[in-house]
Amino acid sequence: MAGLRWGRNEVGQRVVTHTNHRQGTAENLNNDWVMLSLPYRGPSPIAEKVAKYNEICRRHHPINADRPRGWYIWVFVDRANMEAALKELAEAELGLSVVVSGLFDEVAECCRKAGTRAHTVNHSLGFWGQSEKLPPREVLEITTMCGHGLVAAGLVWHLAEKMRREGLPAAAACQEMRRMCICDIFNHVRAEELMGQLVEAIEEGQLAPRPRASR
Amino acid sequence: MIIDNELCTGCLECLPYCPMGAIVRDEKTGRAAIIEDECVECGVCYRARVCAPDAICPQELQWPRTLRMEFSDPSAPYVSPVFEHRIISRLQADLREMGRRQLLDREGEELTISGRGTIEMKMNDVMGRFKRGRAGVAAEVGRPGVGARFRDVQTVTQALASVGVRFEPQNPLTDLMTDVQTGTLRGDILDEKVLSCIVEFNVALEDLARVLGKMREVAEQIDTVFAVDLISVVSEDGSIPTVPIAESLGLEPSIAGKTNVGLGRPLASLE
Repeated sequence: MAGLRWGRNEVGQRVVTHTNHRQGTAENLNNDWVMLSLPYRGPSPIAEKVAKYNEICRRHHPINADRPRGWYIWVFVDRANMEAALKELAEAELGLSVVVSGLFDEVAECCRKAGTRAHTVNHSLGFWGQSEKLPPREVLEITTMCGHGLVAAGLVWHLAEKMRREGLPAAAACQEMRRMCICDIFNHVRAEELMGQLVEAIEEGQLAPRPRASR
Repeated sequence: MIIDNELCTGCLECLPYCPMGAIVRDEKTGRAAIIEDECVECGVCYRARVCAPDAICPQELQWPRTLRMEFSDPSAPYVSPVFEHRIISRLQADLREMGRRQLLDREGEELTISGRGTIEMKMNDVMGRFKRGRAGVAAEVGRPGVGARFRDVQTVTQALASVGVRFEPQNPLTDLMTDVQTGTLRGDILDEKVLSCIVEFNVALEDLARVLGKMREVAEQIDTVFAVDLISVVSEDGSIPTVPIAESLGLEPSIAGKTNVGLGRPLASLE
């Protein structure tokens, strides 16, 4: 994409993703797959390979293809699309290093079908220390989709309240959160479902929003 | 970051955007105010563009406050003079050692360190940073969304150093240590607060249980949280050597995380 620089977002900021601690259940993580490659130059020029990588991924309907980008991170909500992209990437033999974030067993199965195998894995062992400082699970499932922590728990509460009181559509709320994630790996489609559940939990009195701070 | 009092209209729209909850309503003025010591200079409030009169402005940062931005704003480069040259030259030297291969951006510009840590296992198939028989470990202090003072980070690094951990040399935090053997950080940075700071290292599998045990112990001594990463090369039979070790300690490795799917070529040696 003209005007964009590799490894940078649309305003030229350098970006590195962070996807290792996305919280959720096997069920609600089944629509959350992030595919990432990093530029690496071996014996041959890399630009063509990168273009091919992006072309293949784009063809399989990542949800973050709607914004201008010249880079390499794609979010899929449908496992079948991620699997098809992975298979095609393997067949193309680009030699680019690729990381897929998501349910390990599912990714391993996709690798097998693509004729490759998991090489290295990174597990989360959870959050240790003063865990009472963390927001509830329902909020963490949303905020951890920006691994750099740029989607504030307070924003989740605020938008949930706007959904409840002002009828803000969930899609608009989730696009607003997505804007904060400069790597654009925030899965706004999954977030819509989670926000719906959060609002429901607030309505039923199971969760209470945090009050605004003052001094 | 600062809020220009003259421009702020008191709409308070910016309050929920701060990951640290550092923007508050000033009861005297009714306007938004930033608690300077809690602000980690992540830039979220500024980039959010929710302030109609543009009252939120970045300020010129002086050392050691510069570290707040460098460790909290993923778009910010590491520019602090204490580690800039050392860390970049070290990365390049390592790459040369691995066969004169370079990380390049699309325009041929060499990639330097970016993000809060290294590229960890992202390119392990072609770089071989993590070998068989080793485990990569990271404590992402302050994550998710709590933030951390370097004083707490030092509590973690000193505890790890006491059990023989050698810190990742390409991680910016290592360059902020005055003594890598003891995990001691520069005294002038200890009160600085950042969104997160990653302590990275790798250990032999036989030492993993002891190190994780130490991490559990030190987690009780800090005023924040850390997210724990555990990296392993997958064995030929598909098993993951770190998993049974973690499970033997009563830990539950996540059901989701990152998988390097082994498509990179040429493959690096893991021995």
